[in-house]
Amino acid sequence: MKEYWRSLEDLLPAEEAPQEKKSSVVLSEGADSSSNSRRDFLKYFGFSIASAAVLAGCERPVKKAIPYLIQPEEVKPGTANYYASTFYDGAEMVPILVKVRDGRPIKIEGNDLCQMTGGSASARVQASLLNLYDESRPAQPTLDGNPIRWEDVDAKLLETLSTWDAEKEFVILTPSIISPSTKQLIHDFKTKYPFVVHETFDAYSYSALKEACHKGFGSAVIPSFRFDKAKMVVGFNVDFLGTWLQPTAFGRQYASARKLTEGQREMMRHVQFEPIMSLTGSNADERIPMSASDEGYYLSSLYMAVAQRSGMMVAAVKGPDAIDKVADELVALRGQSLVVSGTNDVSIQSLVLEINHLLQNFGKTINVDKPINLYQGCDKKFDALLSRMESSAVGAVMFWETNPLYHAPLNGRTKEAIKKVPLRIGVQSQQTETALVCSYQLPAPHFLEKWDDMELVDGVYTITQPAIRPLFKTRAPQENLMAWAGFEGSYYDYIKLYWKDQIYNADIAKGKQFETFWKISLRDGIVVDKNKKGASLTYSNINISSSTNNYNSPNSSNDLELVLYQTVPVGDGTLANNPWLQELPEPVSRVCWDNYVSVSPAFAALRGWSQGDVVDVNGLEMPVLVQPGQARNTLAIAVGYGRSNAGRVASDLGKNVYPFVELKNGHRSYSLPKVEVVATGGTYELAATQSHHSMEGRELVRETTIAEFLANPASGNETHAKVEKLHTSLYHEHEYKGHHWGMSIDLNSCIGCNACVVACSAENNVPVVGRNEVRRSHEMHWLRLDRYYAGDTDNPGVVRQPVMCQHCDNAPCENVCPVAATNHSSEGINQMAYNRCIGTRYCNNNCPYKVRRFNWYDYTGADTIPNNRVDPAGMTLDLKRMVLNPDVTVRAKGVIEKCSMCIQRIQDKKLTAKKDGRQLADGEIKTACQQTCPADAITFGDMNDPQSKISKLLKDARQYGLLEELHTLPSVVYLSKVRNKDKNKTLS
Amino acid sequence: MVKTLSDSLTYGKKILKPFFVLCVLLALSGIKTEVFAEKKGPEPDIKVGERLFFGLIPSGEGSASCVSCHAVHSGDSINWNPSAVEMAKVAAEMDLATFKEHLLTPTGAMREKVHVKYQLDDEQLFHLQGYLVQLSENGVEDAPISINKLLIFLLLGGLMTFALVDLIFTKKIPYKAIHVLIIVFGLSFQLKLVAHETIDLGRSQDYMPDQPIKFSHKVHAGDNKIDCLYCHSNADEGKSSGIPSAGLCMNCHQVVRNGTNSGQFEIAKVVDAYENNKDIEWVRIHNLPDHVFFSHAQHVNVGKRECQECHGDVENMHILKQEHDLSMGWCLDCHKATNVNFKDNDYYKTFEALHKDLDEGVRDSIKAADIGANDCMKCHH
Repeated sequence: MKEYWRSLEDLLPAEEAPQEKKSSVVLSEGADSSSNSRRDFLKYFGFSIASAAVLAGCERPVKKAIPYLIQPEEVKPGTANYYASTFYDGAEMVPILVKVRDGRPIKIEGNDLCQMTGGSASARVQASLLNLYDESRPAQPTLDGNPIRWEDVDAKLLETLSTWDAEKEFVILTPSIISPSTKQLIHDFKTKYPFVVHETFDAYSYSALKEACHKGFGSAVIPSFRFDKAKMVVGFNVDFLGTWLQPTAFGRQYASARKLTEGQREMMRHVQFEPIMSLTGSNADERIPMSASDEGYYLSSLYMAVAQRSGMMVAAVKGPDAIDKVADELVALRGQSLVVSGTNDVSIQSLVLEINHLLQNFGKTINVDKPINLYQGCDKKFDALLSRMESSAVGAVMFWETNPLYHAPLNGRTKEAIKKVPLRIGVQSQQTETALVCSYQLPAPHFLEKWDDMELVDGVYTITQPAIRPLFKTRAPQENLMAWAGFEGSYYDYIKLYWKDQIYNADIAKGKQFETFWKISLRDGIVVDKNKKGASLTYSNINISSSTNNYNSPNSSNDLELVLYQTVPVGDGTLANNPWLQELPEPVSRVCWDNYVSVSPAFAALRGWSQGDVVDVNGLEMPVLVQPGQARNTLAIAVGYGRSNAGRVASDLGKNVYPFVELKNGHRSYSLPKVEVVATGGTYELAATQSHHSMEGRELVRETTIAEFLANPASGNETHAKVEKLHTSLYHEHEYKGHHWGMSIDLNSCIGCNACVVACSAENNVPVVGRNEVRRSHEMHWLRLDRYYAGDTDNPGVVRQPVMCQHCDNAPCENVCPVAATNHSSEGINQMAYNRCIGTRYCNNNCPYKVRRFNWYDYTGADTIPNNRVDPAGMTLDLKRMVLNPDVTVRAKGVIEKCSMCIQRIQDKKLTAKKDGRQLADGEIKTACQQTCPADAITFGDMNDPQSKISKLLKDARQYGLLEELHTLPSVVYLSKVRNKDKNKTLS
Repeated sequence: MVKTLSDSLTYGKKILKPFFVLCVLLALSGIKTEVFAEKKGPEPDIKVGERLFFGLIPSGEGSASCVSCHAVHSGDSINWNPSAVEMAKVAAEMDLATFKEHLLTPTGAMREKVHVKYQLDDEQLFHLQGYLVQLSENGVEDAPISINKLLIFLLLGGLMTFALVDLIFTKKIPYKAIHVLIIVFGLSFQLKLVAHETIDLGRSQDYMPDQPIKFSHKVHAGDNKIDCLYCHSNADEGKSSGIPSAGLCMNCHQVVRNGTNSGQFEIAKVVDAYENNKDIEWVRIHNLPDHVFFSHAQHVNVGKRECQECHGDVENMHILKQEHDLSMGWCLDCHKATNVNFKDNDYYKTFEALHKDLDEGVRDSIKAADIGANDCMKCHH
């Protein structure tokens, strides 16, 4: 078995392991500042018992029950309604279902009618719900900082627009608009006011990919990628499972192409070349560290190698060995392979297109006739806009949910340019840096409060519909335009009219009248017009000779390079003011609440640094994180942090590295070829969940290769059979007369995107504890994604494992609870009765999986004693508490909590079945983690039902229990991981 | 009636209240007269109004005093007539002519019968309205409470102290058995009281608060035999039984405007709420702690339980009362004793082993507790 290690400290002998680094900065978040000593506590304790006993008897709180005056037919108190809607944050679009209980949206699920996502959702989609209840959202329109009424805004702007100097532009700067109605509305607005100019600005730029496509296909599009149709994927510096383009859809495709369940015996192979250890790279079968500056060299070598093998006459270039081997494999899989790169550089993207062209992948794994409408922004156009602003050609700019001052400061140029525009209007649903320089700040609603429509791919329409009335005095940006142009009606009317005129036809409506079609569309949330086809584009070769010439040798300089990347939780930073996302550990480094400089182990050793040392990178002081697998001379820092005006949670969290982003060949470049870095001597304690709960030297994650698996499905999992033989127990076994719930997690499918963690937090009211508490290992997530490295530190193999309560039949926790607060249910669930728990934490100590969480403080406002409270992110505010699931108890200080297998969902579905008088169907109950999983890695069901999916998976040869040698008999089982690589022949 | 420590404590407050009010009044008296002096026109004599209301000044041949129908105290027995305060609130908004018309030329069966005997002149009416205006502003005092447990508790405490002191120091009573008897009896009674009160903390059996509308379940569910689920239809579907919306009330009360007992006054409240968009703030009676998740649908729809099993004889209650203590033990006991509808509901086919037992006669019935109704997490998520 491989030697897995959890973090670098594990590799060192015990005495050498560095002592835990404490922050040199004194931080206080309230927890330590309490001056009450234990003695005080005892003093008050006696008194309060006495007074509580008396007081409790004397005041019966009178609870009021106020019914509706006229109850809407579809609203039943205590019963949730689901509304189909669409999530779109300017980056990813996911059709969703919004769960609304008694008028409050409390959970987001993926819309299972969507073929692209299949009902899954990413961590950010799940968490976007909390942005609705963000107390930092702009609450009312202001003019020069003074509150103003909407009528006055309209009157003033109408006057401005009617007396506009036609020589000057009135610019509307939006993120990529994928709403057909909004596009039409902006068009109408422009017709009314010809001086209006619409420009698009994306928070994170993919404009080089579009330009390359323009060169190749004559149309600047972003093609649809089909990872599920590929048998081999080669990624270059691209995080398509975490952040690139459509991670939710790609994660689903990727996992489906690699599944080995239900008789599938073939698996897509994934090779990744990258400078940093990305989520995607950590999933790859083989991963080769490559510095960012070498990407051109690697790709041009690959192009040459593929060309050569395709019978083209090209000069023989000696590329890296790995590239030659990859080329062999790719050529063998023509039309079934996919090469992608995430670098925002036209020459790189052109090379990628050329390679895919040679491999005949167009129309198979890359579809340009069905382009996705995301990322319409073009950096060159933005550059031109800035120039026009600088030359005072722009008279007004309306920032419509865009924040260029943060996302593209371009050495202060953006700020200077914007300052030259006399009228600046900020239309934002969240606080932004750009809004600060706007005279008009017009609050926009959250996407759960407004109407909209979306067209991700031509002919696929989705609807965004409000799930709650606006919480603040907000107005949709579209309604602003309508008011200022004097259009009648609301934006809802406008959408409906547009749908009636432009989208509705007999085919799409299946012969129904428009009103019926509209209602069906609202119910389903998604409508597909199969007849609408994009233009069919043909590829003509791009001239890449200059690239191949430029990139004919590896980078020989010894300069330190800096790579800027998006993390899975925070992304480009648009949704940063979100406690759930900030608390979510980055999947690879497992650090939350901060960004940091990650360096390779070799470089760290060279400089003598270890995790937590503060270094100065081009003037920015940040803590170091040693990241195994990172290219040697590469430093990496995540964007999306260091917001100066984002609201209570995200402001001044981490450091902002967007100022490092510069235009290179007209496109924003997310890497710097040369940086200076020196240690400052300070230290800073990162809030990492990494070396917590270490489980070393045991076969936690079992792994095999595809060849071994095909020869013997149980390979790598031999221990399971051995353990099974020893199955004997002194305890008498539980008897399950009805259901016996169980869960299976396919480690070969899990991509580690962490969507399940946020889904679990949202479903189960899991508290947010904040940076200081995470430092003290007090994080509360019921479900964690352990990540282990194997092999050498320069290029380790990575495995990961979601761990939640294993619901053991022989549960060690149950035996030690002095008050029987945790015990076994008749359906095999390890129950936790919070109101019975007295907080001894014996169970926590006795749990071999370390999945039990103790409420050290009151994090959600369940206690009545304010001193118990630790609330770094405003989670005890009434507004944020609106997100709480009313079906799950909010735990108070001093009790243990843990995964309940979403017992409230089990109870709910059982009740539905009972009401219908039928047996429960397999797959009817879905746990929160399972429902959101893009990779479909989690299966939940009744192990007593021999026909259920879980029962079949229990017979899979790859199945094993975590720490099964302890004979805890867990109800959660894992399927071992399979790598599509040859054990003896590796690329590197 | 609910008797808890609370009543006696509020009693203590009550003794202090008059003193406080007196002090404030004394302090304010100077200011008050000034304010009144500024006003034009005669001032009503509140005292005369009050005497009229309580029947100390006769108001007509054979007429009943106002207070005999319009109670000034809230209580535990239903009095169908509007309470004094409710009535005062209406009267306070009228001018004298309307008030007179309203009072002396009544509409509605009940008022016609009673009010017709009133013979009040304008001056008396003026004073009476003055009293009612004051009443609507100040409200009424709570009903005086009878001697209760806390007083007994304190009395026993005093008695025991006396016995102890006499036993050790004064020694006036010759027989020591008497001291011992007093102390033993006192202590055991106190302990019992404390134990019971502690167990009942947070429980509220027999809770029957006054509601904003004198709604009688007896009239609706008992006399008129309206099905419980007609109004509480959500009990069949959801977790809570739901309180009917005013709109639902109006299904009948669009037509029915004259109550058998209450006349027009109470029904008018519902109509007013419905027509003028006013919330009706019912007082919630059956409260479970936040960590308990109870589903009506499970019990009513699936378990086919009668509402009365938990809520008592609601169709005979004018004022709704919490019949049971809703304690966990009460739930569990019922689960242990109640048969599951095992044969008729196909859901239970999952329990094959138990079906076999039933068929083979190993068991004669399956109780709810047998299939996990008493698992912690069934109710505590």
